[in-house]
Amino acid sequence: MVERKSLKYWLLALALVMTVFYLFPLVLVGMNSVKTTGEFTTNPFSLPTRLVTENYPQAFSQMHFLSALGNTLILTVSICVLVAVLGSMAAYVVSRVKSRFVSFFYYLMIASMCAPFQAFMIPLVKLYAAQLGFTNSLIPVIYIAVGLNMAFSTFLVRGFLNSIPMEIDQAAMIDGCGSVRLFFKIILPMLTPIEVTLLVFIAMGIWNDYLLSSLFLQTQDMRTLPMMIRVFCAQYSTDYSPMMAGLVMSIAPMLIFYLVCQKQILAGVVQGSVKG
Amino acid sequence: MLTRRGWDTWKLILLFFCPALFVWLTAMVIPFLYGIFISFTKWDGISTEYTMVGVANYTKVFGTSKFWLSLQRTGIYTIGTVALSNLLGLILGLLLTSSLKGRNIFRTAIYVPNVVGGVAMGYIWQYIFIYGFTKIGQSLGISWLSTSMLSDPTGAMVALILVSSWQLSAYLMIIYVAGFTNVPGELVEAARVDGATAWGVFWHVRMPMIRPSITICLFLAIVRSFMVFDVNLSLTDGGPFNSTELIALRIYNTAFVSLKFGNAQAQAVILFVIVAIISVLQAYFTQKKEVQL
Amino acid sequence: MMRKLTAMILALAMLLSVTAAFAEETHEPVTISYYSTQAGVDDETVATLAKFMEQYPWITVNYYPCGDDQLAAWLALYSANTAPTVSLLDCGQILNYSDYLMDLTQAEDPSFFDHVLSGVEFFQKEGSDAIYGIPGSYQGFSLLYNKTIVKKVFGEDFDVDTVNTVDKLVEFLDKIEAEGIPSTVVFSADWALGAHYLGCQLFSEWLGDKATQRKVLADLKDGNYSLIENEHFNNLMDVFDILKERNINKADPLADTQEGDLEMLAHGKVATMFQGDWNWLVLRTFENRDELGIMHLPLTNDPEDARNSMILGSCPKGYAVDTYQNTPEQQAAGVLLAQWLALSPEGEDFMVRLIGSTLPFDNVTAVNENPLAVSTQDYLNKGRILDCSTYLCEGPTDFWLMVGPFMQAYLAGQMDRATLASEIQDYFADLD
Repeated sequence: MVERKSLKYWLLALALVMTVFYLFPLVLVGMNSVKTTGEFTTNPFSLPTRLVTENYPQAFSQMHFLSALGNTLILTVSICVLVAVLGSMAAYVVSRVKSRFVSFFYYLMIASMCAPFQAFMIPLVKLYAAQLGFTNSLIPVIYIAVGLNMAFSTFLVRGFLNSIPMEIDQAAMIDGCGSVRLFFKIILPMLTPIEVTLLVFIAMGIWNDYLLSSLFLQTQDMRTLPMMIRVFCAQYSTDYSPMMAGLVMSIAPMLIFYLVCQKQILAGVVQGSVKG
Repeated sequence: MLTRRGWDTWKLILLFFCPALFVWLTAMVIPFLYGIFISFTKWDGISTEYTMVGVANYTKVFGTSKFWLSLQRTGIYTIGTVALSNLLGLILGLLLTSSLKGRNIFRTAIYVPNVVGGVAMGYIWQYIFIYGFTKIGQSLGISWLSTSMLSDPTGAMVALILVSSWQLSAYLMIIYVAGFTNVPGELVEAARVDGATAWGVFWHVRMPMIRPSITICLFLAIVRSFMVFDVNLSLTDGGPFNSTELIALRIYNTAFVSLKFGNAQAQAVILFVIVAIISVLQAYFTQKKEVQL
Repeated sequence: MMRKLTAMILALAMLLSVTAAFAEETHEPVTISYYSTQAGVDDETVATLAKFMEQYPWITVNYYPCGDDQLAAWLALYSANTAPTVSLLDCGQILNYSDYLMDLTQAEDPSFFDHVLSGVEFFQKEGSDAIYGIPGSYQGFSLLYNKTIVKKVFGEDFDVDTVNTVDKLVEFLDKIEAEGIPSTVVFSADWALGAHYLGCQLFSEWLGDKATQRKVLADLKDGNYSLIENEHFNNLMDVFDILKERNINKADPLADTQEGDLEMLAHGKVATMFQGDWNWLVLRTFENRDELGIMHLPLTNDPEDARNSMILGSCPKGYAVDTYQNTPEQQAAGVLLAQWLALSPEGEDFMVRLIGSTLPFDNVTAVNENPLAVSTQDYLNKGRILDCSTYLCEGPTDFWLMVGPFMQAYLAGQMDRATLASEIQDYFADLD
């Protein structure tokens, strides 16, 4: 018992050390968001000599924070939902159906995850903006992001599905349950933990995406948070302090999202084990 | 196997698989094929006319030692980052699924590096490496720490691996946490009752159960490392004297600084082929193993 | 009868001419777009464009801000068939893509060029009179120096103009060192070393007239030029050695940041730094900064050589008008916008007060707060500007990217001059 207790303290100490390592650069961001840029460059690691709160309102207005937040939210939510649903459906087929057609495309999809984005960013614009006329609109960004994330979500969910015994499917089918109902009523609820994990990944990627959005969203009112963070960077200089204030403001929603999701992941896992 | 008849199977494929397939094909594959076409041309980035040059771009790329050097560096970087980020991610996953007080807060705190984009973090770390560590080194009189790692080719590569792993491990941690949470508690208890040591429980009970997580994490780490761009740009910008110019940054520069779009596309295609071979092989072996299990 | 007819014709003619004049007054509404690589000042740009739209109510301007990928975002607009009507771009890019841009001398009324005192050569191609851009700003660069320190060391009346030979430069720097103040910092970014120190200075008037500079570039590409035997290259590197020797970051020359180096200059921790007046955007963020200015960097020991008293000047950016994806009406409106942005009081105010740039025009009234730009203007007024347009306009666009790292290696003592010279030659020989 004593040994376990001391182990607990060691674990706590280790966790604290790790947290410091992971958080330290972000503490710097927070600390320097209340300095002037001049003070940041002069003394990046010292505590602020006086609290410069103006950076926050400045970042808020310079980034057009609300409109950028709105665009980012629309993108993130719609892409997440579409990717999660379409990806899990595809993953279900990959996991349950033995078909050359399916596995051929599945491996191609995995392979496509290795394609560097630079290899097709200009063609993307040529096809979607020039040919189909989608300029300055969230729709092509949503559509393309869904396509780009499809392979990853299929891949991730398939791994999880493989660990769900086939007997569950078979039992349901013997009871006369059709494939569509089987998937939505029985399989999908069991996927909650991996779906939430998937959502966390996709949301994070979209929340931080710069390159794809920048290709299609040109005017100021269509821009997203990661694009707006760059308003502080001129060609030969960066206004660091308001940029850090902007960073703090733009990561906050994602942190809240993650906190909420964590409970979901755990709840899902507990539910699954109770049933099993 | 399931007792689905042929038609049912195709209905399922059509309804469930083809929507995803369609979006993926149109959003990714077709543009990529277009990109491959560009790799056989000389193009200025604007014109609607492409001058076909055959495989000239490829022969040029293959004959450029700097391309191979950059690829080699990317390989070294990938090995380092994959190993370190997975090690850290595994430790974090294990630690944060143990009976630790306040583990939710720890998880959230450690997750933060992920939410901040690579470019901004690269700049912050640059300051830490140039002004932070050197100050510590100077005040403690440690000579190797008093000059910046970023000004030495090996040091800059190590710094790049460190920062990437710092970010990537927080990402992988999420998968490992999910993996460890899925290990049934009864199994661990049973092993403990049988007198297994902590190490024994980890190695013989937990590790086999999280094998799928490990394969996923390895795959993701490999792909992400080969494609790294943001951190490379903002932390070292390829320096000092080009010693850390990884392949994605090189491709970008070839296109948008040197304005050689055909050549850049050719490099991208070659990179794609290399990474695809590695990852498909890995996925293939993974599935084989899972069938055996 | 005849008189009546004449009167009628006259009346008709008058009516017609009135309608014609009237038609000229009412313009068809036209929508154009503006792309600016002047990043970091989006809201101010929008406000400036609003003033333009007030004055030209029939023109609507959409603003496309650039990200940090200035060229990628611009090309994406072209790929989408939505090329910006007017673009503020680097001169090298304007010339690279001149096939798609308007020769502004062919604009309906090119008289606005009368106000441009210098800089159009940055938007011209070899052997052609076409001008593809209206100069948008003017930048001077050479040795930035801390006036406060110089006054302290040399006295109030000291004139930096007297530092016009390499020997005097050494004396100047050493005297500062003798006072216990580090004399210089060498900013080690690849673009600073590759483009500004090496590229701009190497292919400048120092090499000879424009024809000679072009000849050297061509010879380098053909692979039959020996840099290491070139006197100017050696002078340039000798002076670089002088700076390198006294670099405050000598122990760890590549571990610096632009902001960090400028901070030392602004706060008197170092006396000089080879850079340009655009650094004002960083410098103005420091509180209690010293007085600053630009002085020339002599490269030979001949006091009679006027080039020893000159700084480098360039028109890095210009306003260009697209002809590829914009209608003639949009192009006409685009020319109006381009000349307004460059030459109107509002446009000048934006460039001078906000960006702190000098402008090479005859009608500038806005007062510049940038002391470095004031120095640049002074050199410009005295005609003491070295022409480096050959490098910026006709040199390869990736010179700084490919050669900058070799300069870094040289700065760090990892490469000797002969190797540097041969690496530069190899780079040129390898160009398509």
